[in-house]
Amino acid sequence: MNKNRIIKTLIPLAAVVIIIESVILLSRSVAKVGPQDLKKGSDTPVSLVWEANREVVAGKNEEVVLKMKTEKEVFVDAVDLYIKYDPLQVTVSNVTFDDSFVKPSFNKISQEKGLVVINYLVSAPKGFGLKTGTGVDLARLKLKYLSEGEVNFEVGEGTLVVENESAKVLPFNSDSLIVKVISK
Amino acid sequence: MKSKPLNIVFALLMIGALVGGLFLVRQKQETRRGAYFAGTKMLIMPEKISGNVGGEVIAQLFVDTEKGAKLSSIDTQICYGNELMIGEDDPSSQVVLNKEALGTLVDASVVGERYKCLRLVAIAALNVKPENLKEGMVRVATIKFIAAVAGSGEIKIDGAKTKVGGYNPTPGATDSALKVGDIQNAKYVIEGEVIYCDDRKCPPGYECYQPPMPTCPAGNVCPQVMPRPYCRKIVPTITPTPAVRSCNQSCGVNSNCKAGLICFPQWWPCLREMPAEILSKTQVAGGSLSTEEQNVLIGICPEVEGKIPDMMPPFLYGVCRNPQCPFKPDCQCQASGDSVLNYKVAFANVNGNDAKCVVDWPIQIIVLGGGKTAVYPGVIPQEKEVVDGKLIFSGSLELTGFQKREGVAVFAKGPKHLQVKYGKNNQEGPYNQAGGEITLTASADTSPVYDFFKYPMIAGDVVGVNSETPDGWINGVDFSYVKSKSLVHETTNSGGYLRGDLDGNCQVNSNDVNILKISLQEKQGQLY
Repeated sequence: MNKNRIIKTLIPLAAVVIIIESVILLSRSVAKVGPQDLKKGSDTPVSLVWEANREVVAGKNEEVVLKMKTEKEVFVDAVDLYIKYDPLQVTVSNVTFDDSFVKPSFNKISQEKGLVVINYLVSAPKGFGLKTGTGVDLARLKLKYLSEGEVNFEVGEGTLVVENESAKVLPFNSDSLIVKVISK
Repeated sequence: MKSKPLNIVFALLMIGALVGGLFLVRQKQETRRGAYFAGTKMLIMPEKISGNVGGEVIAQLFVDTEKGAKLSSIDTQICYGNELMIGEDDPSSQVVLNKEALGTLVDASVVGERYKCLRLVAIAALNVKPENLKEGMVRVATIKFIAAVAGSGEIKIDGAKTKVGGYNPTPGATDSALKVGDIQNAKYVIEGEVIYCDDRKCPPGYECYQPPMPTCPAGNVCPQVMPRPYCRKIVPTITPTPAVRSCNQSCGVNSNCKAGLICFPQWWPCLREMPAEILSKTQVAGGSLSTEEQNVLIGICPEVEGKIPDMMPPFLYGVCRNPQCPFKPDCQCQASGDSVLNYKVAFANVNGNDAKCVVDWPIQIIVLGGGKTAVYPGVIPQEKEVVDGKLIFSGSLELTGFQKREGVAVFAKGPKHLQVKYGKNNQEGPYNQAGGEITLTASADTSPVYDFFKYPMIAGDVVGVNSETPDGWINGVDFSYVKSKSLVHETTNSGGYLRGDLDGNCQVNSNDVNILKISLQEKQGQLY
C-alpha cells in the first residue's frame, strides 16, 4: 500500500514537471521582446544667464559673465557658444573661463564680426555633472563700451548644450542682455 | 490491488504522450524549413504613440529574426490612417534607415488610396560579409510621420505584402527567405482640434482635405454621405535630389540616374528588375547565387545567361549605365561633349596603412563655372594608392550636362566630411576666392589631372543637430556621438562602415575623438 501511494504521488509530480519544462521550452522561442526606448534629449531645463552691471559708464572697463545653470542634475558632453554683440558699441578685449569647468577646445573673439565663439568638449566618459541649482561661468568677457546708448548681448545661432549619453541637444533658456551706457 | 498495474500503465501512457507531443512539435518546426529556413517577427515600436497635430510622429520598424538568421533584405508595406502623412514627393526624406543593418534604401514610396501605405524596400549595405549581417532584434528604419489631423488609428505592417530575406548560416544552404510570423502593430493618438473647412478655408500652414467616400462592401446598402472636409497640416515639399548621377556613379534606383541611363549591377544587362531577395544576395561581396536563383534571373532576363559571376564582386547596389551600350564603361555610344574632371582627393587623418574600412566612401562633387552649377552625388573614385602613408583616391568623372571648360571651381564632400572648395591644382589650404581656375576638356585622356589631396576633406560631420543626417557642421553633437561610440569601442570588420570611424581603421576610439577635436578647431579657425 505504501509503495502504491509513493508511485501515485511521484507519477503525477513527474508529469507536472515535464509539462512545466515543455511550456518553458516552447515559450522560449516566442518570448516577447519589449519595446526599446528611443533615446531622447532630456527635458531638463538649462538656463544661460547673464551677470553684468545694467548701467555703465562709456569708456570704462567692465566684465560681462554668461553662466550656465540648471534646475535638475544634468551631465553635459559639449557646449557650443556663440555670443553676439555690436562691435561698433563694444570692444571685447579678453575672455576668461571658469576653472571648475573644462577648458575650451576652441575660443576666439572676432571683433570684426561681433562674435565670441567658444567650444567646450568634455572628454570624461560621464560628461560634466551639473548639480541642481548650481552653475558654471561659460564666459567672462572683459570689455569696454565705446559710446552711450543701449548695448545688446545675445546668445547666437549655433549655440547648443549637448547631453552626455543621449548625445542629444538639451533645450535651454536664454534672454538677451541689455546694458545702458551713459556718458561720464 | 487491481488498480496498481492500471495506474502504472496509465502513468506510462501519460509520460509517453507528453514525450511524443514534444517530439511532434519539434518535427513540425523542422518541416517548416522546406519553404523558409527560419522565421521572423516584425514590430512597430513603440506600441502606443501619441502626437500633436503639426508635429512629428516617430515609429520604428524592427525585425526579430530567429535561429541566428541574418537579415539581408526587406520589402514591406506599412499602412497608416489619414491622421498621419508622408510626403508623396519624396517619402525617403521621412525614412531614416538603420545603415548598420540595411545600408541601401532601394525604394520608399506611398501606395494605396483610402488607407495609405509606405512601401519600403531595403537591402544590406555594400561589402557587408554574410557573417556581419545583423541577426535577432534589428532596428530597420525610423519613420517620421507628420501628424496631419486629430484622431486615432493604427500603424500596421501588411504581412501579406512583406518579404524578408536573410542569409542562411547552414553550410550549403540555398534558401534565403524568412517566414514572417508574428506582427506587432502600433496604435497612435493624435491630439489637436479638428478644424472643418466647408468653406475651403484653413489657417496658414494647413490645407483643406476632402476625405474619400467610405467604402461599401458588395451587397451592402450604405448611406452615401461624403465626410466633411477638414484642415490638415501641409507636409513641407522637399525638392527631390535632381537625377544627375551620370555614367559609372553609384545608384539605388533608375531614377537616380540621369535621363537615358539605368541603374543595375555591372553584369546585369536588362532593363527589368530582379527580385529583392536575389538582389540582396548580389550585394554580398564574395557570395554566390544558387542554380535555382540563376535560373530565376535567366527567366527574367535571358541575356544574362553566362554573365552571372561565380563570385559576387564588391559594388554598391548599382551603377548608372547606358542600356543602349550597357557594357561600355563610359556609357558612350557616341561622344557627348560634356567636360571631364580627372581628380585626386584624400580624406583627412586617414592612415593609408591602416584604413581597412575606407572602402567606397562616396563623394559628392559639385562643379561651378560660368554661372552654371552641377551636382554629382555618390561618386566612387575608381582607384586608390598609398603615398607617404596617405591614402589617395583618384578618378575620372564625366560631368554630365556641364560643358564649361575654363574658370571652374570644384566642391567635394565625403560621407562624414565637410565640403571643401578646390579652385586650383595642388591646393594646400582654403581657396578663399570667388570662382576657380580649373581648366577641363571633354576627354578623360586630355583633361588635366587635378591634385586636391594636399588639402584633404575634413572629417567629423557625422550627425545633425536634429537628425541623424550630417548637417554641414562639426559641433558638440558630432563630438558627443563619436565619444559615445568610442567609449564602447564600436568595431566593424574590414570593409565595414561606421559613422564615427573617422580614420577608417574599423574602430571608433579615442583617436577619432581627437580627430574630431582637431577638425572642429581647424574649421572654427577658418570661419572666425
